[in-house]
Amino acid sequence: MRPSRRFDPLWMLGPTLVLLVVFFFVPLLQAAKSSLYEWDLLTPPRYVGLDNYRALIDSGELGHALGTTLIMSAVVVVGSMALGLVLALALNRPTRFAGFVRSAVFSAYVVSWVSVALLWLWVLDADAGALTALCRALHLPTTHWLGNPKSALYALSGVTIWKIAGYSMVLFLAGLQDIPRSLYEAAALDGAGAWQRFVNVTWPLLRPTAAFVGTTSLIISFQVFDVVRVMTQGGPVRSTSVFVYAIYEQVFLNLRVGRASALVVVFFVLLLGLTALQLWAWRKKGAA
Amino acid sequence: MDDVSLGVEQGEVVSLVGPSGCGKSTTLRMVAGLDFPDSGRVLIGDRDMTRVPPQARDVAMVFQGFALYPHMRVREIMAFPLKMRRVSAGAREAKVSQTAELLGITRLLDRRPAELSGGEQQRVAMGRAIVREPAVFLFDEPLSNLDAALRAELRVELGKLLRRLEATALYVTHDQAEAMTLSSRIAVIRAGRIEQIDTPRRIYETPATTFVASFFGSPPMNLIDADQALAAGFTLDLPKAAEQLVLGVRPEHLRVGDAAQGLVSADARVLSSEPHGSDTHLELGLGGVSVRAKVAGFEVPTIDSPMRVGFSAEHARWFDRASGKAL
Repeated sequence: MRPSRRFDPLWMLGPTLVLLVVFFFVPLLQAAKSSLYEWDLLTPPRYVGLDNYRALIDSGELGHALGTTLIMSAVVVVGSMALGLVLALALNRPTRFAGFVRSAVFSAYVVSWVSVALLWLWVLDADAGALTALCRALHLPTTHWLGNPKSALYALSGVTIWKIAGYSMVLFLAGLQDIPRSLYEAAALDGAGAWQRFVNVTWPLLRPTAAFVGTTSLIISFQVFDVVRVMTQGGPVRSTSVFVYAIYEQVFLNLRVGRASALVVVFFVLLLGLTALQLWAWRKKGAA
Repeated sequence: MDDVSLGVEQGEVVSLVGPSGCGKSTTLRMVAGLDFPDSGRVLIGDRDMTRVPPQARDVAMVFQGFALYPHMRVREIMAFPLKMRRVSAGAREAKVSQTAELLGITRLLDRRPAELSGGEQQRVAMGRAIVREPAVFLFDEPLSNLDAALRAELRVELGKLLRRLEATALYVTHDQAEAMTLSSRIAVIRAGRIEQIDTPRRIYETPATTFVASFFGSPPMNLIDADQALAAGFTLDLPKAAEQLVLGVRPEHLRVGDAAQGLVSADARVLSSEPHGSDTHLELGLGGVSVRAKVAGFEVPTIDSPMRVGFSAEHARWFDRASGKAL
C-alpha cells in the first residue's frame, strides 16, 4: 500500500525511530567500539584491537558466564514450561476458584524482580527461612541454599521459575482453550483414556504454543540480572555469575569497560540468534 | 430430557428428530457417555453403560463438525481407534485400506483434514467410525455442515452404507428428509419428551400429535380448527364437538377445481402460487383461514381467482384441540 501523503509515515514513525537510535543503536555501536579499547572510566581509553575478546576467552570468563547462563536457562525453561503446563491443565476450568488461582499465579509475573528477590531471600534464609523450617519439620536435609556453590544457581533458577511460570501458564491456557472440545470427545469415543488424549490430542496441538513459550522463556532467562544482584551478587565463588551480571561486574566492580563491552557484543549476537528462533516459532504458531 | 424410553434393535437405524434445543443431541451424548443422565439407565446389549466412560462403550460417533484431528493424516485418523484398542500395525493398515476403499477415499489417505473438502471430511469421519466395527453408531447431524446438493448426494450414499453394514445406529437430525430416508424408525422429540416413535410411513400418515403433523411434510400438514372448517363450507362428519377438534389434511391430499368434485369441498380464493416445476404449491384462502395445497404440474392461477378445494374424507386426520393428540 502506498501512502497518499509521502512523508506522513515518517512523521508517525519518527519519535519511535529517534528513541530507538538514541537508546539502542547508538549505545550498541558505542559498545562495539568500546570493546576494542581498554578503559577504566578514569584514564583515557587505549586501543587494543581484539585483546578484550581474547582475554575473555583465555581467562575462562566468557566460558564461565556462558556456562552458568546456559545451565540456568535450561533449568528455567524446562521448569517454567513444565510448571506452566501443569498449572494450565489443572486450572483450565470455568470455576471461580480456578480463576482466583490463575490470577494469583500470574500475579508473580507482574511483580518486580527486586520484590521477588527480597521475598525469596527471606524464604531461602538458611536459619530462619520458611523453606528451611519446612524441611526441618519434614525431617529433610537442609542446606545454606544461597551460600552453597552447588545449590545457589539452582535456587536462583527456582526463584525465576516461580516468577515466570504464570506467564507460561497463561499462554498454555490460551493454547488449551483453542483446542475444540469435540476433538477430546472424538478421542474418548475412539478409545483414548485421559493420558492418551493428552499425548495424541493436547500435546500435538499445543506444540506451536510450546515452541513460542520455550523461546520467550529462554530469552527471559538469558536476561536475568536482578535476582542475582539482590540475592547472591554472583557468588558464592562466582557460581551464579550469569551473563548480564558478569557484564555488570566488569563495568561497575572491575572498572573494565572494554571487557564488559566485549561481553555485551557477544551477548547481543546470542540474543539476536534467540530472537530469530523466536520469530521462527511465532511464524510456526501463526501457520498452525 | 424427561421420561425418555427408547429401544433400538440390532441392525436398526433410529432417527431422533426435533427442533433445535429439544434434547436430541443430549440423548445421543448420553448414549455416547459424553453426558450422564441424572436418573435412568443406558443399556447397550445387556450391559448397563450408564456410568461407563465413552472409551469403554464400543460406540462410534460422527460429529457435526467432523472432529478430525488436525495434526494427523487421514490414514492416522482412521487407524487411531484401532491403535487405542491395541490392534497390530499390520492389521490396522489392512483395515484402514479396506475401509478407505469402501468409502472411496483411498487417494486421500496421506492428506491432512485442512486439505480436504467438506464432503471428503465427512467421508473420513465416517471411515473413522466404521473402521473398528462398533456395536452402535451415533450420528450427530453429520450432514448439516454441507451444502444442499452435497447433503442430498451423501444422504443417498450414507443410506446405502448403513444398509450394507447392517448398522445399529442412532441418527440425530433436524432434516426431515434425512430422517425419512435413512431410518427404520423415527423418534420425534419436543422439549425433552418423545412425541411419537414409529416407522417413517406411520409418522407421516398417522401423526400422533399436531406437532408431529406439522414437523413432517413440505409444506407440512394443514391444521384447521374444525369450527373454522365448517364455517368455510366443508361438510364434515365430526367425531366430537367442533370446538374441541383440529382437522389435519396433507397438502398433497387436497384437490382443486374439477378434481374437487364429489369430495368434501368448499369455495376458496387463490392467495399465492409457487410453481416448483413438477408440482405447484398453492395457498388458498377459506374465509378466515388458509390452506396449502400441492398440485401436480406447473400451475399459474390468477391471484384472488375463485377455486374449489376438497379432499377425500379418508384423508382427514382429527386431533384433540386442547392436548394436540390424534384421536
